[in-house]
Amino acid sequence: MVGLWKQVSVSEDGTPMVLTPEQENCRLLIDANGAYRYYHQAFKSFKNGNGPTSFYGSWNLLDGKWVNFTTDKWQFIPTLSTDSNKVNLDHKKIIRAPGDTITVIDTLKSVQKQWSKYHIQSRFTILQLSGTEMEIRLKTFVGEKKYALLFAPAPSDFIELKTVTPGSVNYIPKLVTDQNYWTIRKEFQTLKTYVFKFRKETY
Amino acid sequence: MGTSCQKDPVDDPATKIIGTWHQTSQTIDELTITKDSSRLLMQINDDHICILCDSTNSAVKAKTIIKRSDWSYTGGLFNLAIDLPVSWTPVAEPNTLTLQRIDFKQDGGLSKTTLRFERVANMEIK
Repeated sequence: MVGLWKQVSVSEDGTPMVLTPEQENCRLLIDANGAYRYYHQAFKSFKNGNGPTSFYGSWNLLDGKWVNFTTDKWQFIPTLSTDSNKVNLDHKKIIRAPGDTITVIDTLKSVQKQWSKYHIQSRFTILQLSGTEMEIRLKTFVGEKKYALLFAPAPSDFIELKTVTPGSVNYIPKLVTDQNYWTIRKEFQTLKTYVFKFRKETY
Repeated sequence: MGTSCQKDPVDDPATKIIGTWHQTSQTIDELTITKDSSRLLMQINDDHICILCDSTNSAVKAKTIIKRSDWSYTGGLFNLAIDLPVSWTPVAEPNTLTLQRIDFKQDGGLSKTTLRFERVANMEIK
């Protein structure tokens, strides 16, 4: 298990997933001390092209049959207004010209109230583990896979947090609105099986 | 009885890295660069506390040149709490210590950083 692994494919319920170029170049560097680091480019375009590309977690084997990886995930916690059942959003005023003020959605303020980040383990079944190939399976909710670092998310599912203090996490799942609320909610209620394949690389 | 398979503590890698070490060089991918001023002197104590003398500008300015960190040795790796999730592969000789770490670069390749130390007399760092 220890070593450098390049992700070569991900399937969802047996169907190969189409990966973006940012997801394609995903690698796991698994250390013998129980820590692992992984690389992908999903957020590389953030911070004017200097976004984070390296992430980390812990891992352990269970009975030689399962492997636990901890990763960052986000809990879906948007609230709906009680009177109209619409997604609660924060707004801000923008002065376009003297006397010309418009009210727009405050995306950064809203989105931070809609998602709560946590770090938790996922238990994968080991389908194959040799000196060159690793294949692991995870049954989970679509939303748990999509809005998590399992291992490289799709860039379109995340946005950049531009006003965080230096060193803080500057990415978060996308804004939840009336248009996508039920879709995302359904994603967190739909179970699917994911198979990740990796090929070992030397370094 | 039953102790013949136990390692001699002197040969234990964790024991070998204990001591006070002065950094002599730093290389990244075999290219020599400026020494890592965050740990020009490093004292690895047997109580699993490591004391680092941090000479970086920010530490000197903040008067925090003495840094303490928990350490452990697991899976053949030297884990310094302040560096995790990065760990170091140590090679300890009686008077020299080499620490090597691997990191992802922005392009997905790997870079190898090597710090070399020489043993100096133990001293009490307060």
